[in-house]
Amino acid sequence: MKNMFNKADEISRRNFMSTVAKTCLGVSIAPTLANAASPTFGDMGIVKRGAGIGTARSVIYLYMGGGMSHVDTLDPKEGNTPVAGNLKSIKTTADNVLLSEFMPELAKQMHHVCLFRGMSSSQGAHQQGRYFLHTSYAKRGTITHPEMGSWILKLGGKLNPTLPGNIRIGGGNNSGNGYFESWTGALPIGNPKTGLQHSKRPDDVTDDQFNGRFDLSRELNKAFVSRYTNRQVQTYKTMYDDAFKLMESKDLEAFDILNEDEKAIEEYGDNTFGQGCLLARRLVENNVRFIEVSHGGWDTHNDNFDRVEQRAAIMDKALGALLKDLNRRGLLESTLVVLTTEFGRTPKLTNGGNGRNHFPKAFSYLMAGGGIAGGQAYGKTDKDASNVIEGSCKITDFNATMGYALGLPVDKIIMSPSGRPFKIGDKGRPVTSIF
Amino acid sequence: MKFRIALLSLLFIMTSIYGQNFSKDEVLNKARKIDQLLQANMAKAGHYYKPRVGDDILMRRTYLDVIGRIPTWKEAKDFILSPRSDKHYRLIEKLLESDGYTSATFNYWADILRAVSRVDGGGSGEPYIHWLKNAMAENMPYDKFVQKMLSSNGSPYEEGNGAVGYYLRDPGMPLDNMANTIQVFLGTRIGCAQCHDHPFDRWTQMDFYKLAAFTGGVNTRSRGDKKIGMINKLAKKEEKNVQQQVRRIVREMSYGVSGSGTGMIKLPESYAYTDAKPNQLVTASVPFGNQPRIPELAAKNKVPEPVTSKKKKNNSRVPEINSREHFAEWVASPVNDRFNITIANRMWKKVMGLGLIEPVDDINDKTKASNPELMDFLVQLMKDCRYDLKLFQKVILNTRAYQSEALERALKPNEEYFYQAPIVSRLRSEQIWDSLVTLVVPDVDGRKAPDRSANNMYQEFKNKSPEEVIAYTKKIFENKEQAKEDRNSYNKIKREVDRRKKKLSAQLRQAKKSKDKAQEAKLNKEMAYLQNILKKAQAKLPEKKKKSSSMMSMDAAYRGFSREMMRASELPSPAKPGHFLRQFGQSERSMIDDATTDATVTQVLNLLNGFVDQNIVRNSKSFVITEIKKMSTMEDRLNTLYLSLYSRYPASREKSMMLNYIKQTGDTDKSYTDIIWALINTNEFMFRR
Repeated sequence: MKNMFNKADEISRRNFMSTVAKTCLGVSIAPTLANAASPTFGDMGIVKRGAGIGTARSVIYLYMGGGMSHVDTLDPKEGNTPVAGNLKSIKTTADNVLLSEFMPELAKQMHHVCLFRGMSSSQGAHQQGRYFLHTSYAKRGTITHPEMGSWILKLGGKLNPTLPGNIRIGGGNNSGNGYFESWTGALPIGNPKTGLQHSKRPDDVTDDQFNGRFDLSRELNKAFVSRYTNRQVQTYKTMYDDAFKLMESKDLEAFDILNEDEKAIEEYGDNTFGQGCLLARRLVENNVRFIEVSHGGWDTHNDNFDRVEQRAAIMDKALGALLKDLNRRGLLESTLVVLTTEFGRTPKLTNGGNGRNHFPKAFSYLMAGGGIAGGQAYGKTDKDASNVIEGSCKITDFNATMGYALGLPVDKIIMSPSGRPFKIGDKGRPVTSIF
Repeated sequence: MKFRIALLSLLFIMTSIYGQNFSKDEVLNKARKIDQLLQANMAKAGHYYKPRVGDDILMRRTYLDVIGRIPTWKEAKDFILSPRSDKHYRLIEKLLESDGYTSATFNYWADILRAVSRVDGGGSGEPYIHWLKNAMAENMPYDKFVQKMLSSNGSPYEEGNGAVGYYLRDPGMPLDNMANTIQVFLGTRIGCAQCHDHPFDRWTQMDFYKLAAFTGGVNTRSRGDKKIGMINKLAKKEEKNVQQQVRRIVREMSYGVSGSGTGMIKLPESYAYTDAKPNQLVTASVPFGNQPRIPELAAKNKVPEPVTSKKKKNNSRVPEINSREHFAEWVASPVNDRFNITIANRMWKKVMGLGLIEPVDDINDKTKASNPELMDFLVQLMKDCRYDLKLFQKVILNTRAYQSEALERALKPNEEYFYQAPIVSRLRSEQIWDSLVTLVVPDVDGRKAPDRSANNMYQEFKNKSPEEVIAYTKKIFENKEQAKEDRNSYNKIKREVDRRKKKLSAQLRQAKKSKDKAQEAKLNKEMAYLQNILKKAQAKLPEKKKKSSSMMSMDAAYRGFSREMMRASELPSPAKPGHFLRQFGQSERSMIDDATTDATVTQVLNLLNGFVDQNIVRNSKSFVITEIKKMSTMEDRLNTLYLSLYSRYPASREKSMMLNYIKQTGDTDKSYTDIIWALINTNEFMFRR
C-alpha cells in the first residue's frame, strides 16, 4: 500500500486520483457525458387521462426564491427580442407545448406536467410575496398565518407516525405553523447531504448514560415548565418528546442520501437543490406528507441571462430527474410535485437590456403527478408575456388546487385563536379541469 | 482664563461630537419619569408592577439584553455577592461599554439591515459588516449613522468607506432599496406603491417615484470608467473562459456606489394614473415633513416639459445635484417625526420586548401608541440624548419596569399590555450560540475573527494597467481550472470513502458487541486504510490559501479550540444553512428582521446529541470544565456549574438532588458533564425571564 502511494507521487495529480478511485475503491471518476445525446422522445408514450380527482398523498413543493423569470423558463417567447432576447424555445414531449432552451430535462418529462401560465399575485415585494404564496393570505402585523405544509397536515394528518409530516429542505428556519399546533410545523433541514443531523446519540454515550441525563433534565425542567404556562415554553417540552420518538424511529434512514448510489446523486445534480429533491423522494417513499425544497437566487435585476441560465440548469436537471425517478418507482400518481415562486419578472428587458424587475401581473407555476393530466399548459399570456389572456389563476386558486389534489376539504373553515375564519386557499377555487 | 475658555470649548465640542451625557441623577430621574407614565396607564386598568425580581435573574436578563450572552460563573458570582446598592446601575454601565455590546448590537442591526457577507448578485458585504461593527463600537450617533449609509459614495474597499454597503445591499434594485429605507428608518411601508397606489394607506405610486428620484442616476457599478472600458475591450480578444474571469475582476473593481443623485427619475412604462404619462421624468420630493430645499432641483422643476424622448435622454446626461445627501438629511433629522418615533420605539422594544407601536415598521397616520404620553416622552428623550443609543438604552434599563418579575403566562391575542412584567421569551439564536460558546472558550468577547473586509483583488489591480490586468487574469484562470478539476475528483473519492466508512463503522459496532477481537482489528485496519487514501488524496489538492495566519498565531488562550468557537457576530453572516445558528432561527438576512424563535425538532436534536457533546463533554479544554477542575469540593463544583449555566446558586432541593447524582456516578468528570448536559437541555437555559 505504502509503495503504491509512493509511486503515485510520481504520476500526475489527475492520474493519481483516478488510479486511487479505480484500484482502491473500484469506481470510475470519469466525467459523465452531459449533453452527449440529443433528446429523443420516441419511446416515451404520452398518456393523457380524462378528468378525475386528485390522487395525491404527498406533496413535493419546489420553491424558487427571488422571483423566477417566466419568459426565460416556462413561458418562452422566442423571436420577440425586446422580451426574450436571443433565447430559443425547445420542443417537449407534449404536443404544442414549448419550453425555454434552459429546460431540456423538463422538456423530456413534459408529458407528466401541467404548466400554469396564467398565474398572478397581488404582492410585488419578496417578503410579502413569499408569505402570500405560502399561506394564501397577505402578511399582517397582528397574526402569523400557517403555511401550506401545516394546512395540509392539519386537514389531512400525518402518514408516518414516527417521522415529522412536514419537512423543509434548504430554506428558512421558521416552522411556519402560525396559529396551528407545533406538530404541523416544518422540520428544517439545512443541508440535504448531511440530512437530519444529530439524530443518533454520540457513539460514546451509552443508553444508560443518555437516559440518566435525560431523566435529570426532565426533573430539573419541572419547576420552570409548571411556573411559566407560556405556549413557547410548553412547545419545547413537546419537542423533546418528539425528538426522543424520532431518535427511536426505524425510518430514520430515510434522511440519509448517502444510501443512494452514485448514479442517483449525479442524476439529480450534485448541489443543494438537486440533493434536496433526491432527499424529498426518499421522504415521500417513507410517507412524509409535505416536503418543501428551496432554490434561491432568481432575483435577476442584473445579468439576467447568465444568472437565469445558472439557476435554471440546476432546477431543470433536478426536476427532470425527480419526475423521471418518481414515475419509475410508481410514486408519481400519489405524489404531487409543484413549483412556485413569488412572482415573475418584467418581460421587457430593463437595466441596460440584461435585467428584469419584479412582475406580479403574470407568471408561471407548474404541477405534476398527483392525478393531474400531464402534457398541458393551463392558461396563457399575450405575446409580450405581460398579460394573462386565458386561464387566469390566482395564488389562492393554486393553493386550493393543491388541497383538491390531495382530496382535502378546501372549504373547511378553521378559526384562529383570535376568532377569525381561515381556509387553506382563502377565497381561491380549485382548478378542477386539469385532473 | 484663556486656558479655561479653551477647555470649555473643547468640552463643548466633545459633547457635540459624542452626543449628550447625563449624570447618574439625570439618568435615574428620567427613568423614574418613564415609570410614572407607565404606572399612570397601569393604574387605570387596575394593574401594578409585579414584585422586583431577584438579583440573579435580573443580572442574567441584563447580560442577555445588553451583551447578548449569559454571564460567566465569575461575573455572576461577583454580582450576586456584591453588597453595593447601586450594583445594577454599575453593571449596566459596564456592559454598555464592553466588547460584548458591540457584538450583540451588530446582530440586532444585521437583522434589520440584512447585512450579509456575500450579496447575491453583487459583491462582498464584509466591508459593510466591518463598518457596522465599528459604528457600534464607537457608538456613532444614530442620525449620523443613518446619514452615512444613505449618502456615502465610492468603493467599499476603500478604507473606512463600508457605509456604501447599505446601497450596495440591493444591487440594481434602487426602488426596493428606497422602500427598505422608508420602512427601516421611517417605520413606514410604502413598498407596494412601487407598482400601484397603496391599498390601505395614502401613498400613491407618484409619491413613491418622487422619493426614488432622490437616488436617480445612482449606480451600484461605476459606469463609464475609461480603464474598465479598456480592460473589457482587451478581454474580447481572449477565450470565452478568460473573458468570464475578467468580468469577475471588473465586477470587483467597479463595485461601489457612483453618482450623488440627479433628483430625477422616469416613471415606469406601466404607469397607469392620469396625473402623469408613462416614462415621464419626475423630480424628487418627499411625501411628508419639510421639503428638502435643493436649489438645483428648484431650477429643474421650472423646466416646463420634461424630457421624454429616448434620443435626447441618451445624449444629454442629467446633471448630478447631490440629491442623495439632501435626502439623507431629510430622513435623519430631529424634525422628522417618523424618524424619531421609529428609533425611539425600536430601542424601547429592544429592551422591553414589545414596542409601544407594533409592528415597529408599519406606522401610518392613524397609528396610536399603546401609551401616547410615554411615546412622546421617549421621542423627547431620544432628542435629548442626541441620538446616542447607548445613553437612551441606559435610561430604559434603569427603569423599575425593567426590573419586575416576568409574566408567568403568555399575553392573550389583542390583550392590552402595560409592561407590568417582562414577557418570557426564548433566547434569540445568536444569544443561545453566544451563551454556549461562553461555556467553551475563555474570554469569549475578546475572540475576534480576522478582518475580512479588505479586498486583495481590488488593491492589486487598482494601480495596474489594463494589459497587466489581463495577463494576470489568464494566470489565475489556469490555476483555477486545474483546482476545480482536482476538487471534483477529490469529492468523488471522498463520497465513496464516506460510504464505506459508514458501512465499516456499522460492522465495527457489531464486532465490538460480539467481542470479536480479530474482526475488530481487521476492520480497524481497513478503516485506517480508507483514512489514508483520503489523506493522500487530500494532500494532492492544491493548498487552500491560508486565510488567517494571524488567527492561528493568536492569543495562546484560544489555542486548541475550533475556529468556529466565536461569537455569532464574528462568523460569516448569515451562518451556512444547517449551522446551529440557522437551526435556532437566525435570520437569513434577506428579509428585514425575520429571525425566528420557533421551536423545531432539529434544535432539540442538536442540544441532545450535538453541540454539548462535541464542544464541552468531549473537549477537556472547554472553559467550564477547566474552571470546575480548579474547585476543591463537590459543592463548589456544583455551585460553579449552576452559576455558569443558570447564573444562580442551586436551590436546596436541586442541590441535594445533584449531589446525590454526583455521588451515585462516582464524582467523576462524567458526573459533571452529565449535569452540564442536563442543565443545557432545559427551558431555564433557553429562555429569558
